[in-house]
Amino acid sequence: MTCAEFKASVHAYALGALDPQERDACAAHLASSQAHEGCGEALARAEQVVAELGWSLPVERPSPAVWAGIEQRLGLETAAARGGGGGRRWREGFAWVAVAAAVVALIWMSRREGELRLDAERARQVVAEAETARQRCAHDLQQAQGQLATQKQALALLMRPATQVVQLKPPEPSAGRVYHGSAIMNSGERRAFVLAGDLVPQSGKDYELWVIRGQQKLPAGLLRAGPSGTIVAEVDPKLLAPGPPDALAVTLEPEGGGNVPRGPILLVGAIPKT
Amino acid sequence: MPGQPRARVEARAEDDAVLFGRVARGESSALRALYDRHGGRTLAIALRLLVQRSEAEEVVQETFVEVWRRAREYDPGRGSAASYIATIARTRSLDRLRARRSAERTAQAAALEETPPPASPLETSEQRQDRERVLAALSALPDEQRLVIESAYYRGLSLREIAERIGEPLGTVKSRVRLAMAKLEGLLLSREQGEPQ
Repeated sequence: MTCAEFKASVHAYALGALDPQERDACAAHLASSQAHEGCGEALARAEQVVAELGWSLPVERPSPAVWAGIEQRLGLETAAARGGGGGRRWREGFAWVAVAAAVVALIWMSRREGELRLDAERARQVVAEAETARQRCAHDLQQAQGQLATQKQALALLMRPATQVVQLKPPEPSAGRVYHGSAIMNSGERRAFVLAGDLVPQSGKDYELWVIRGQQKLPAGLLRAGPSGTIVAEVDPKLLAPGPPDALAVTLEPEGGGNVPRGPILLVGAIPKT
Repeated sequence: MPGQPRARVEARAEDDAVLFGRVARGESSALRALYDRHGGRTLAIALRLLVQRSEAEEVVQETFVEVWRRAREYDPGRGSAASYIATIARTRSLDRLRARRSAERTAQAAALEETPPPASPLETSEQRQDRERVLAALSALPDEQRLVIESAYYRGLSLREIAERIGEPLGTVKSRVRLAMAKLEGLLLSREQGEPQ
């Protein structure tokens, strides 16, 4: 192909409208080392005209994914092929940023791990405290239910025709706390209940109930009241099986009580013989 | 105002040349600036030929990756950066178009009009002026010349295909292209002539 032939085809070449064979011939002519007669300039002008035709097209807006794809390809290109200063600086800069980000992330994760561990420990404590409180509430509820049941039984016994009510009093006047109470006794049914007030809990001490028959002082259990000091307790029916006792008494004993009364008598009441 | 659109294009070309220099030095921000300026036009060129948007957007990606790789080869003395980018985009699009099966291509070509598509609602006043300037230049061509240019540019048809379509000898079509392009060069590239007459 001569330069004249090339220039005759240059417009169609710039438009991309030549057949493959002619296109290849034009490309080969341009690439040849022969002295050209303005072939390159003619092609530049033709390409410029073709580019100008592009202004006739309405502009389209590429989606964001297009630039993202370019960046991705450039990143691969930069890593693989471009050894230029700009590319290397970009890579190095990115590497330092990545290292810094990793360090910051590690510090943050370490601190966050410590915080999470503390949070977990606090949560465990809260759960343990809640469980303790729940158990305490369940115990108190059980006691209250037991007290209520006992009170109902005492009330039922009180309604019986043969039931006696006996006052329990301190054996001698005291200047200190004044204790008072009652015993509900039904000799026929061999059942008895003790009602007492002011039996407030004392550290290292327990209130103990006694069934007195002649010289015998039989331990009938500990009386553990709530903070109000009021209690309703049933006397063990086995202790009443031989018959009505002579008296009932309450003493203040060392914690846990005993089989023999050692502490002071707080309340006592003689059971009348029917 | 005569001369104003052409002066604006030249000022823009100077800026583009600076950006190309920065791209050649590995500044990705300059490539982004070129993309912001020419990405929409590049997509329009590819979309016009390929129709399918996803494929046209792939061409846009390929075009700007090639700009990045070949920025050092760009010679402002041989043409504007816009022309350089548009040539890459058009070549890539034509390569894809011609790689398709002939049946598919024929069906697609039949669906296209030779005339330019209507204006986009996204068009700015500056873009509208550019578009009107080129359309005015095209309308200044004789009908038979405008037909071959529009068939080649907007539909990607080869001269042989155009000749077959209009029933004229290949040499006649080639001659019409040469004459049309010479006239368009005078209308669109002349410094003295701001707007087509």
